Amino acid sequence: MSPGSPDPPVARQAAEPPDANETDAISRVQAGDADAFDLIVRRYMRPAYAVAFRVLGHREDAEDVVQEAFLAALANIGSFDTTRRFGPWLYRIVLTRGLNFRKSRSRRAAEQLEDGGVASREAGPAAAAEQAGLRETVTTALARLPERQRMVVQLFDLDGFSGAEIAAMLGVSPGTVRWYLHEARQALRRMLAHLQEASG
Amino acid sequence: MNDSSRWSLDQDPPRDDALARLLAAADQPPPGADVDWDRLRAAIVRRAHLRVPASAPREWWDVVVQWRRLAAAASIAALLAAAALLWQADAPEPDLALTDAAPESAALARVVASYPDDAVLTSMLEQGHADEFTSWDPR
Repeated sequence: MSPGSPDPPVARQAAEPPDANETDAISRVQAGDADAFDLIVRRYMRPAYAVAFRVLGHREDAEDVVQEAFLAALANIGSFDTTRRFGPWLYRIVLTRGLNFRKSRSRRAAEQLEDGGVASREAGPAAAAEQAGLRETVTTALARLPERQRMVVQLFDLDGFSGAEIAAMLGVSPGTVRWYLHEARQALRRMLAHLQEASG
Repeated sequence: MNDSSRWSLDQDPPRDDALARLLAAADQPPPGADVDWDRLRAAIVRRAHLRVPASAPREWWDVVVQWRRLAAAASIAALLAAAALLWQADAPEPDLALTDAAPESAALARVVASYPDDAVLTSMLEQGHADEFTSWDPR
């Protein structure tokens, strides 16, 4: 087993405190300058997509939710406090809309899971089989976690969001998020210990 | 994987790279790898242009531009009104018209006086036909 290095966390791109450019852009949007919204979209669309994907597990649905979340943020931009960071506010909207979207949609997420083998198809047959086995094992382990624990461990360890950011999304305290993370990691370590031993 | 005992309520634990690698293996292709970011951004920005709050405060020159047509119409109307007032102010008043007519009646009187035997002129004066030339009241 040789899983590759995880991709750079998408959340790190937008995790810094709001800089002058961002504050200025938001102020301009509040003044009615739609062009200034472009900078905000460029900066936050990837982490927003990551959040939406963790909720929905489906690319097109996640894109739809990201679009709707940005437009909802724009509609309420007048009430946004520019001394605060835009990201957590947006991610909360994404998460809420994603959960609502998931309630009302059909079974498209399952189709996405069946459609995700691009990397495996590109590798050789043996490597592909090994990769597929690994993916199934980890996916099964993740599926056994309570949903909040699964989301927290993916958002933190894969996507690079901080505990405070995840807490703002979920509407809980950062301490609670750290507890979810701790529990999720413990459970995954138990379930995936054989993979760890095989690779070590 | 990292030591599980390193957990704190007050601060984020370090990222568990070994666990992250395993999770990433189940995340193939990674979320967003097949997203056309330019298209997504363009779609959001295009829709945003249609939804910018209309009540948002703007700069003064934006307000001027918005009201320029109404301001031009109001300016033209004001000019027309001013011209009409000026025209009315220049028009002769009725008293002045009488005054202007006086020289004609005086001239007629002088003509009648020059021809005292002219019955036509005399009859015109007697029958008040002079009023047909002027409304001047010699009072």
